Amino acid sequence: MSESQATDSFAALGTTAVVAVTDRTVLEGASRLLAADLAEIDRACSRFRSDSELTLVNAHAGVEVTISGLLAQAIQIALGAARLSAGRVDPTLGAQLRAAGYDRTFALVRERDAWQVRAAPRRAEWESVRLDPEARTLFVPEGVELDLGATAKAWAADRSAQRIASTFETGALVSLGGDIAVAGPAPVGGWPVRIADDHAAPLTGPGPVVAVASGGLATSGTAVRRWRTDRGDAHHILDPNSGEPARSPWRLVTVAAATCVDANVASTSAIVLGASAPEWIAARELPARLVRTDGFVVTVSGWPPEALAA
Amino acid sequence: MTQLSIGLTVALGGAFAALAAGSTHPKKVVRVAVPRARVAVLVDAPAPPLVGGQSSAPTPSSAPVAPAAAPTPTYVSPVVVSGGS
Repeated sequence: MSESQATDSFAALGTTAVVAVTDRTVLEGASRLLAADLAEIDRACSRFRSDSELTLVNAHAGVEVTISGLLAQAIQIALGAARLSAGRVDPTLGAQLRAAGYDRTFALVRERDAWQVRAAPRRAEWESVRLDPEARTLFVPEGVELDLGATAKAWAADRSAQRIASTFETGALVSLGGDIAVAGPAPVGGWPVRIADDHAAPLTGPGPVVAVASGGLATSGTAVRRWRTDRGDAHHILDPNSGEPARSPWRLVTVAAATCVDANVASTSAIVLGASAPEWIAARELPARLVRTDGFVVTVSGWPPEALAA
Repeated sequence: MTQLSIGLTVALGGAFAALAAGSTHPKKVVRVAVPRARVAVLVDAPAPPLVGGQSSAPTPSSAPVAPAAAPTPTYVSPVVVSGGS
């Protein structure tokens, strides 16, 4: 990292937020802006806060409601992700996630000894959610609970990176639990990012290091956000068809895209999609690295081969 | 006539007092959680305006996403880790 760059990190949205800027004199302001942005997103989009707007929306399923502009944007992104992924990244799986045991913040889920898995509620069609982003009206069918966990962090990273870059006229990187967005002029050679199973892994360690100059980079994995149940270990990426944790040949999928949202949609889709994921990603010309559960690595669309990545 | 004048004065004074109180005391923002007949107001205040325009993330659509530049190998020390969370 050059002497003019600087980074800061703090806990937010149940994960780690990292901000890096190319002009260290603006780090404090950038960090404050990010913290304020994330607090606002949390109040609007959290499934775990009793006072969040999303909790209110879920409590009024079956009735058309008026929502804030911020939540409308978050839901618009989530529904767009469902369209893009043919329903593999589905924002209507809140009840299924609760039935699987992800019914509170992950820190609390992890502390629990075991969870008795309940029958997953019948799957709703995400197309049945009606959002008018102009009028900011939303209809969620009765019995459906929205969960924006799949896209909200990535969207927040895109949004805040852009805001930091434009507010402080600096190159900016924002990482939220390993979902990374960059904006503004990148450092020479790009932002160096290490790929690992766990976003909380140390900066030095095994795993390739790649440089990202624009857009977003997201990694989805099944190895970290896991918990014990009476049916064995569970993880947080559900297969919308079964409503249960996806049984995937992939342990970790990293995708680069024009935005962090796009990257996250592709990486999550790949976990759900299974064996055909490399072809699906390649058809969209997205550079990606997929790690099988046995450790074998597949790269597509120009992602640097393992031997080249440092 | 005098009683009418007094009555009017008192009524107008009360109205102005109420207006003055309304302008100097912060208004209570009520978040209505119970739906009305068709459209319930859950949040009556719009989100703060976004600096630098709308979200940088365009809404994903069913069309293929924009291709992205591939990351490049580097030997520079990383600033962050991308991984599962």
